[in-house]
Amino acid sequence: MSAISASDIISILKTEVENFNWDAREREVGTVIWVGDGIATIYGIDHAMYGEIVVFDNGVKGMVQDIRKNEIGCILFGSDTGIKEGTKVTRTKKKAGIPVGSGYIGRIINALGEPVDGKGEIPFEDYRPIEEEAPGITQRKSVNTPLETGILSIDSMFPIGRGQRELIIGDRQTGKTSIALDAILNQKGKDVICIYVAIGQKASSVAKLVSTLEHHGALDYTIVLVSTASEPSSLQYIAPYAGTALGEYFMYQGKDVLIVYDDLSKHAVAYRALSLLLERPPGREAYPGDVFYLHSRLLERSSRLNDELGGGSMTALPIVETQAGDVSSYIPTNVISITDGQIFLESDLFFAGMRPAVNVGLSVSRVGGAAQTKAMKKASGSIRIDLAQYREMEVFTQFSSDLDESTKQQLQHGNVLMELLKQPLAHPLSLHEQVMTLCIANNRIFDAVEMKDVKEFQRGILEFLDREYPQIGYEIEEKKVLTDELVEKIIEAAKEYKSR
Amino acid sequence: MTQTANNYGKVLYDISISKEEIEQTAKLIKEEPRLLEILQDPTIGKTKKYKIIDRIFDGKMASFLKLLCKYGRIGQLADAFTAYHEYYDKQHGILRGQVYYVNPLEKAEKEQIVQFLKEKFSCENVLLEEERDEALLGGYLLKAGGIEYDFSYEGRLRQMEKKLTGRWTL
Repeated sequence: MSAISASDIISILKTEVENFNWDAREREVGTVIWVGDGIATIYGIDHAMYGEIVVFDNGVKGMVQDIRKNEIGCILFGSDTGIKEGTKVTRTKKKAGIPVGSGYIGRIINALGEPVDGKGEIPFEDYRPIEEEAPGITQRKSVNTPLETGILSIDSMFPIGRGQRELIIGDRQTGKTSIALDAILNQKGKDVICIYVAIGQKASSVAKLVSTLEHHGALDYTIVLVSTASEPSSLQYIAPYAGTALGEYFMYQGKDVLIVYDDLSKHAVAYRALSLLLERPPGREAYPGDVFYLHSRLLERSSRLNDELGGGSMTALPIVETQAGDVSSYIPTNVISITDGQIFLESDLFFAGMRPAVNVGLSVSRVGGAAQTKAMKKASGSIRIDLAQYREMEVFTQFSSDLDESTKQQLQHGNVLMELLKQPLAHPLSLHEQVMTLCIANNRIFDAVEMKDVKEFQRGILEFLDREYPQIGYEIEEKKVLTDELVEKIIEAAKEYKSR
Repeated sequence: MTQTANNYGKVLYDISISKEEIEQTAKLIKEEPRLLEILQDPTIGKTKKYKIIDRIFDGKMASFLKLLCKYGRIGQLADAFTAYHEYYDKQHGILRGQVYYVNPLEKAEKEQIVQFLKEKFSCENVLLEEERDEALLGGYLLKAGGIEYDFSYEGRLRQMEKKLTGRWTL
C-alpha cells in the first residue's frame, strides 16, 4: 500500500466535512430545575410523552416517568454527576428500547443492551421498545407443548408448558435460582433460547451463575442480562422489560424462549424507590398503587403465539423471595395471582435434605396435564395422590409403633417416592429416564430396596436400561407414549437388574 | 413555579393593572430587597405591613400586595410577576425568542427569523432578544417556544462527533 501523505488525509477529511449532512431539524429543549437520587425534574419540553427518552447535555439518557403541569419528572439511566440546575435536556421523540439480534446469544449485557462481558460490540439486527403491548387473544394459541426442566418433581407433578408463566417462590437460600438454572441447563440441544435476567443481585452471585452456565456449555444458547444491586434503581426497573423485549424478538421469529426473572421482589423494591422519589403516593408496604400492573404487564408478554405468527413462545419463570415462608404478603400474592402456577420451596424441607425443596402440597401448575406428554401423564398418574396419602399417614402414625402391613407398605412407598424426588444440582433427567423411574416406582419395585440405597439403585437401573434395552428409551423419546407393552418391558428389565 | 403563582399572575392581568405599573413594582422590589424581606417577616404585624404598602403603592397594586400579605403568599410575588408576563404574552400573541450569535446578524436575516417564527408559532408579534455568545464559534442559535434551532458551528461539531463515535442505544 502506498503511503498517504498528510495533505491527502486533510483533503479527504475536507470533502467529508463538506459533504456532511447537517441535521438542522428543530429540537425541543428544556432545562433541569432539580436533580438528585437518580431523578431529574425538567422545566420545558411541553410535548414529552410518557416513557420517552430524553438526553441530557452530558450524554446521560433519561426516561420520562412523570408529567405535570409545568414540568416533567425523569429517571436517569446513568450517573447524575455533571447534571445540575440549568443543564439542557433534549427530547428524542423515541420510546425507550434496546437493540436486539441473534448476536446477543451467549453474551452478558446490561439493562441498556450494552455488553458487559468484555467481548466487544454486539451486532444488532433490530431495535425493540422495552415496553410493548402483550399479544392479544387472537394472536395466541393454547399452551400444549411441555418445556422440560429435567427436575423429576416438577416435570411429573407441576409440568411447565411452553408459553406458561410459572412462579418459583420461597425463602432465601431454598434453591430458587438453582431450579431456574437447572431448567436452563436442561434446554441444551432443545432449540430453546434462554434469557436470565438478574435484578438487584450481587455481582458475585451472577458471576458464579455465569461460570456454571459456561462450565455446562449452556452459555451458547443463553443471554444473561444483569442489573446488579449497585446500579441505579432506574436500570433495575427497566431490566426485566429489556430482557422481555429481547425475548420477544426471538418469539416473533417463531423460536421458543425461556426467560427467568431473578427476582421480582427486588424489582418491586427498585420501583418503590423510584415511585417514592417521584412523589407518587405510597400504598401498602409503601409500594405504589400500580405495583400489580408493574408485574402483570411484564408477565402478560410471555405467551404462545399462534401458527400465523410463527408459533413461537416465551416461557417465564419469575422468582419471588418470601420472608419466613409468608406467601400472603403483598408482592408474593400479586405475582401468584398473575402467574399460571407456582413452585413453592420450603426451608424446612431444604434442611431436611429434600432437594429440590419443593412443597408438593402448595405447588401447582394451572396449565397442568395439557403441557405433559402422554407418556409422562400416564407414568405420573398416581404420584400426587400417593404422596398426599403418605403425608397424611406419616402424621397419623408418628406416635404408634405397631402398624398393619398395608400401612407399613404405604409408608415405605411414600418414603421411596420422596427419596426419588431428590435430585442433585445440574443433573437433569431426560424424559425417558423420568418416565422409567416413575414406572418402576409405581410398580413398587423400589419399595424393597433399603432407603439409603434408593438413589444408587435408581442410577444403576437407568444406566442398565439405557445400556441393555436402549430401544425402550428411544421409543419413549420418539413417540412420547407409554404403551402397556413398554411398561411390561421396563418391569421385566427392572426385575432382571434387581435379581443380579 | 407553583400553580398559586400562576393564578395570581392571571389575576394581575384580569384586574387590568397597567403593564408599566407592574414592571415598576418589579423593578422597585428588585432594587430594594429589604422591602420584600420585611413583608415576608412573620414577626411583623399585618397592620404595620399594610401601612408600609400604603405609603409606597396605591390603587389596585396596593390591594393586591395586601392580599398577598394577608395569605402569606408575598414570597411568590416574583413568580406571580413572571406568570403575569407569560400570560400577557399569550393573550397578546407575543412570542419571545432568543438569538445567540458570534457575529451580529444582519437586518434582513433578523427579519427572516422573525417571519419564520411568526409562521411557525402562528403569533402576531415576535420579540427577539439578541445575545453574543463566543462559545458558539460561529453561526447562530435560535431559541423560541421551547424549541431550539441550532445553526452554530459548535452544535455542528458536536453533531459530527456524535455521528462519528455514536452508538445506537436506547
